[in-house]
Amino acid sequence: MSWMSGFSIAELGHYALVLALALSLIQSTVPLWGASARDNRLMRVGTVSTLIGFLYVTFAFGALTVAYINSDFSVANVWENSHSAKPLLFKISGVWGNHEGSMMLWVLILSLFGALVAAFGGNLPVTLKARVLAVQGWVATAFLLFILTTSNPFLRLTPAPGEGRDLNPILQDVGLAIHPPLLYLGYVGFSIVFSFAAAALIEGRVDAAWARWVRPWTLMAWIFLTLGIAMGSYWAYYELGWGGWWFWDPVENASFMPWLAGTALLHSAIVMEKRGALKIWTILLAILTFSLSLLGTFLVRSGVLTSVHAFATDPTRGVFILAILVLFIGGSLALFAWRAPELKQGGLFAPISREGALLYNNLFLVAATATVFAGTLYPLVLEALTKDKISVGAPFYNITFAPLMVPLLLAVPFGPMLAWKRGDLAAAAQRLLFAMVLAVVALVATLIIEGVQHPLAPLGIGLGIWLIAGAANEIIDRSGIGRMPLKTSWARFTGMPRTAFATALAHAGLGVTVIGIVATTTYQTETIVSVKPGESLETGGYTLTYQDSVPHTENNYREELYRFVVSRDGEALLAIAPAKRFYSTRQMSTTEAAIKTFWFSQLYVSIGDQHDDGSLTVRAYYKPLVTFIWLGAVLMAIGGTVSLSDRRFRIGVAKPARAKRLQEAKA
Amino acid sequence: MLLWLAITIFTVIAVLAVVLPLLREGKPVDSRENHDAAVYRRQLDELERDREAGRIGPEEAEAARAEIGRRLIAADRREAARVAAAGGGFRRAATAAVALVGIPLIGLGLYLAQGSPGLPDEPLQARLGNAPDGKNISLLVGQVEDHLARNPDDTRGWEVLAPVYSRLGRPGDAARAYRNVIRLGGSTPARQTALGEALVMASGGIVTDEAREAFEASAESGAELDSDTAKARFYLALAMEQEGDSKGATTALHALLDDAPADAAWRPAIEETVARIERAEKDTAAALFAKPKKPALGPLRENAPSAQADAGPPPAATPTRGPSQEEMNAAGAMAPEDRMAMIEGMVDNLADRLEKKPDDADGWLQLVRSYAVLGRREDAAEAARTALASISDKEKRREIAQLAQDLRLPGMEEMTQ
Repeated sequence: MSWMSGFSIAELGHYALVLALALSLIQSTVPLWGASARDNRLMRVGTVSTLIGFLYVTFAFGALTVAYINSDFSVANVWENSHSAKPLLFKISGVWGNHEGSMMLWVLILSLFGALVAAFGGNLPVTLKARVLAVQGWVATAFLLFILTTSNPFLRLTPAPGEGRDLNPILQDVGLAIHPPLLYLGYVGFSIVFSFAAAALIEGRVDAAWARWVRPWTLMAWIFLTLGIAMGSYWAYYELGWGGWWFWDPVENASFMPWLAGTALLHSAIVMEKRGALKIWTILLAILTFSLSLLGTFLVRSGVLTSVHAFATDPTRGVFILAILVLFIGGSLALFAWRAPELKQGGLFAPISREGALLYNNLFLVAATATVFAGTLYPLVLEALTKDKISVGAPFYNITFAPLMVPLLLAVPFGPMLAWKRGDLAAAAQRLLFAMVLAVVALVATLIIEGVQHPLAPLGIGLGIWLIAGAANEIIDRSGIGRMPLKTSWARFTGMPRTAFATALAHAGLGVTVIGIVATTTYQTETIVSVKPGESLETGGYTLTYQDSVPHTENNYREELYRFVVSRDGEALLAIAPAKRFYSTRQMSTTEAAIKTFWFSQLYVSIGDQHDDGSLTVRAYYKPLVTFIWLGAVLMAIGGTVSLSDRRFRIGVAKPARAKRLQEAKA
Repeated sequence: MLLWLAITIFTVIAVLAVVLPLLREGKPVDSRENHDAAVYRRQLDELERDREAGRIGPEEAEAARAEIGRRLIAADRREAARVAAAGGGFRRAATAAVALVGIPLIGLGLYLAQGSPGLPDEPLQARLGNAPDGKNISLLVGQVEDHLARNPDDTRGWEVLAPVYSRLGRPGDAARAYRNVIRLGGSTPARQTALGEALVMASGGIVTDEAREAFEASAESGAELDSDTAKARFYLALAMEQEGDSKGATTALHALLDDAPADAAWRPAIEETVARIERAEKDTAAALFAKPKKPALGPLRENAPSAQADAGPPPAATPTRGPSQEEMNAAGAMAPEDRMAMIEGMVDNLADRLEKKPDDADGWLQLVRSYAVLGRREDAAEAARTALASISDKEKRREIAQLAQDLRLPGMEEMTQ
């Protein structure tokens, strides 16, 4: 087909990306003008240009993906980061496994959220919607410019090299396929919350209605961020072969800080929505949350960090992102300083009240964010000033972050029990008696079973049970189960707003995670020994017998499988085979841990060096209840989803039918 | 043509996205206050439910009701008829004009600055051309490997596989395959030269003893001088140069030229190498620390394989190192992608070697330069940092720091020591 000769989807993708920039410039100005002039047509330009801009970004992203799938090494980015021997899934995940591609993903998600507001924001006041889209347009403009000037993934090579340079084998994993998109959906998702805050400040109107409109967006971003962090943690756990699930690595912190601030925002927005209080604070949190996302992007993408995650380094990029950071954080805080004093304060409340409890939550979460912030940035500042390189790790966070969590977690079950405006702590405590008893029982049971070697651990387990039982207690108490006739309590149970279940699920999830963390950290057993074929080692009550090692060849790597038989009480249970892989193109090797799950606990076996005499260094762990850490996070995310599905948050819907049903049931 | 047609359509859609909404009025603006009032009414309903459920005390509920009521009244009061400001015609015309001119201008301006509209896509399938029923080359390699695992004495299989390994940048595997070919099918000059070349690639450009044996087997086979035996003699000369015997190297190369037919395609390459060695001979020290004429700092495109040769490193890094880039190019009139793979392989091997034997300043200098030329600037910076940490000689450290600074490697601009 000669008329198709010279056609290039990559080039068209490049052009689509440039057009997206042109449209984002329109999106960031015209609706703003329209809102101030109350010109309906101009405001509509914002909606349409946002949607078409999103289509173009999507097209560009798709074009890049096609180049990866086809191993089109005439695209420099594909040549640098892909290889024709990679399985299809990793060719696709390779798109965002590198600097340029991950920035494309960033912008794709940014414009996706803009497009969601453009498409489904019909319930918003038109001027607010126009301004939100404009602010989102500013962010999109900045990042599209960043991509096109410093990180263009569409630059071409001619003639095309014969073979690609592969992807870092550590990153060649299903975890990488899922983890960054989730994480980005989370922390880029907070951009829309930021846009809402900036738009409200420009508009000069911040009120309960605003909080209600922002709520679903905050929730959505928070759910994805929760899952993204959990996923990333699990990925590091099984792929890096160290058996750790959280390293306080700056890149992890970069996503954890927006999560902490976002969690605070989620709670303060409730107060604002229900009682019109904490307005200024909520707006500030919205700004801070996205600012922390931007900071995270800067830390990861500028290369100021050097860790397993930091696979991008280039000073010009760093400076560009720093400029974006300063512009948006500085600009929004200036706008805040200018407009915030004009905002009227809302409803009053006593210290002991639902509002007070939520504020208490906010204070601790923000303080926790601050400790993580300090721990992350201090080494960088120190290095910049004195060239000393230090690393801040678990010991720092154990004495700063952990003590902040304890009073927060202790208070969590009280929050939903307190009445609005003025609550009764003693009454709440009385209603929580069931949870308290369970927590103490758990504490004592742990002490009896595990002994007093780790005096803090039973307290931690008790705390986790307190959270789970407290959440259940709230549901039981509200539905009146056990106090009222079954029929009435069933009606009350089904009549409860979904947000009540959401709260309970999320809080219980937190408890599950706490138990997982405490159990794994204190009760895990670790065995590091050298074994020869036929020899055994023991960990956590399981016996592992080293059989032999067999080589195995895959498309793009060779591996040596080390076979073990796992037995317990003399009975062989199963065979496992941790491995060492060698990727020929990059001349790199990775360790593949073997992980077996027994109920909620895991056996984790990782291979060290093989010695000349045929012996093998093996690291084997037994990690009790380790999966609770991630299951808890999944539970939190499910809670968020339940809350998101609460129809009351869809503005313009008639009085909830469920409330009517409830009244009928009473009558 | 098709690309430009698509670009035109995309541009028109983008302009229409701005202009069309300007043409239609659409439904009237619903007032902000109506929205607010709806929200406050809902708050009142919810308050009532909270009060019934005992989640707020009766007195507090009364106070909250008053608060919400005040906001509701305020919202109603603000409900003044606000209409669009005058001047809608001007605004629309201005917006449309900006879109009509600005979108194509920005679009084409930015695109033409960086894009390559003339370049077609080059999916691997299309470039390999003959890959049957959509299988990629690595899959085919895998099949041949499987076959050979079961029939390790199939000479033909190893013979097919060996050059493919070389092209895929797997010189170690290629050398293994050539050894099998020689073992099973007997030694020929072509096979020995190919084995030697693979070994040189595998060791990062160094003509190792093993490689030398292969080249000697080829050169001394008594066969007529052809491109294979000539290549073997060329590498043997390079081996001499690497051992510091520049004289011997040039003598050998001159002898090769004397034997070569006048119209041999590889003559100019050898002449160039002779000239280079003689130049380097004169000023070894200067050549050692010469800065690249054109450090590869530009956008990625400049690092394209085709540009490699032009923007190449200074002639002859050190006399004790592997062949310079010109020689690598000369070593065989290779296809650009082969060359690329070969260079990549060499550099990676050099890096491996330095990892095991880090106190080799000249090796590090070459590695940093090679990375910079290949556009792997992070790797270059990392190598420079490692080198600074592992080299004991102060003077050499200074040289490495200087090189890193000259190349403006990320994070190394302010290196002083």
